[in-house]
Amino acid sequence: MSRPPCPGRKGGSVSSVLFFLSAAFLTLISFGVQEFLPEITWAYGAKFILPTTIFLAAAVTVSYPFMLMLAFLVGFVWDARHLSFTSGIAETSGMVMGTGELAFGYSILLFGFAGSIMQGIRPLFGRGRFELPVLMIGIVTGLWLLLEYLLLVFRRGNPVFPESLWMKIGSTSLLAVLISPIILFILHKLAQVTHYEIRYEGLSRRGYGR
Amino acid sequence: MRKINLLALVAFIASLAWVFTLDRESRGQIQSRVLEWFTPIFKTQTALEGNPEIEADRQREAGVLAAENAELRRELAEARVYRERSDQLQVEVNKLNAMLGFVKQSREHLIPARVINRTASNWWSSVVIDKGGEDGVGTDLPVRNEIGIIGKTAQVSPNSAKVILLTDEQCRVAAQIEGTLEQGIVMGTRGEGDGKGELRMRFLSKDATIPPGLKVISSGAGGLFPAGVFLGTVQEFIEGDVYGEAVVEPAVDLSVVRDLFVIVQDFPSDDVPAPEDVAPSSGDAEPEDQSVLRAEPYIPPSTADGSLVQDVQAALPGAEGGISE
Repeated sequence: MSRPPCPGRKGGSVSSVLFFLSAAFLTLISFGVQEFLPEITWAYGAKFILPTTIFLAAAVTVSYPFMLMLAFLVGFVWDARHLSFTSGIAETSGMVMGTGELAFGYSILLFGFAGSIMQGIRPLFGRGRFELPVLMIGIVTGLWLLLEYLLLVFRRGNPVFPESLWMKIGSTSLLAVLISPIILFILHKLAQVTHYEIRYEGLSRRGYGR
Repeated sequence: MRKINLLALVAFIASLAWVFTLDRESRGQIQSRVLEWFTPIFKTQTALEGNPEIEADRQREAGVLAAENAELRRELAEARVYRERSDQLQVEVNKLNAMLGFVKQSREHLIPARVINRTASNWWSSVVIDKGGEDGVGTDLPVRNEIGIIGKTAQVSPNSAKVILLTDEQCRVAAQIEGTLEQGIVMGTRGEGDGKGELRMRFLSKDATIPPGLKVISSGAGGLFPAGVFLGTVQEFIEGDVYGEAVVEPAVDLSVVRDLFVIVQDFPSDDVPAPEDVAPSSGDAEPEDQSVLRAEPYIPPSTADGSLVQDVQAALPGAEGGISE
């Protein structure tokens, strides 16, 4: 009996690569679009964080190796864009105080971690359930923000957790939940264009008794 | 775990290790390049937003604008005179310091710049300005406007630069409270990424008496920020177990700041310049670059011919034969 073609992809590995490249391109474009999105001042400076939302949405649609590649790409650009570079020789005054800045590359780690969590719900997404991924994108966005803040606290000391912190994390997570269905829809369309079928290989393998 | 996933994870960790071990120079180059890529986006964004001040001016009458223009021209002329006097004094101070064996003070020039982006970071307060390496802007230079200190430069690309705002925890300024002996470090508060945060002045004496309303100015300690520049006003003093802390309201509203100056230090050589070396050129010479407000030294006739130096040498106690130019 001949072995059935891998049902995870309509067009095999070429489709996977094409879809991954499209998702990566979409994520890179989102960095530019992000600059045009204002903060919502009454929501403690919350805003749509497009690169993160697109990455998290893409993380449930691609395989684990592609998710890690995407995490590296997004984390690298994020740090290059947002971390401040100082010469390290003029830290002001003679008092002993370190810069307390995060190491370049920390975002890659955070995105890798967040993407791994999203990979855990791929089976549900593969079955066509959109509710949990949408909810999870909000939760993981909040977790990602909190981890980033905790890393800052760890580096700089003096742990402070003001009310505005929780409001900002909560508002940003909510905004991510609101925008994620649109992102997932765009990714779904991209998958159609590239003939990529968003499915979970593990489930399909079990289904075919391999 | 599938073999391919395991291999991907190993490759990911290896790549992460490579990024973490990047040296400072490579990291700076990467960040500078990425900032340069983003610069056209920032400029487009600024162009689309428009300048609210210009829009407001369009609504005003021509007569009001003409009167305001005349007033500004008068103030500019006055400022030029003050600058000239200041430069003259700086040259004299440098000469006298050199004679006394002190390190000469540097001269400063200001590079005017405009904010083209307010960074959409989560926990950092910074802006991007439209002047970069090609305009003489470097890393770790103080930035101010006509009111007070705004922050310091971070990564610099050829045509833009990032400025860490004073309200960011990463920007620390050695400061003193005017009218007291209290000195400390002024820094921003964590997590206020919109530039609206308050400042904290730390490491004050725990039993200090600091009433609200006193001015906080930079002390110049550390050498990065110039001394005597306004930082903010004390709102409240909080006694601590080890040291006191003051809540400071920033002098400049950093959430709306638009025009600013990058301060570039011109460090002179160790040798005292000969009077003929620093004498002004002919009066009709135009500055090479109009975008840079250079504090060209003005040497009065008494200094140019060396008579002032001779006068001071004579006035200094025990100076006979002990001081030479």
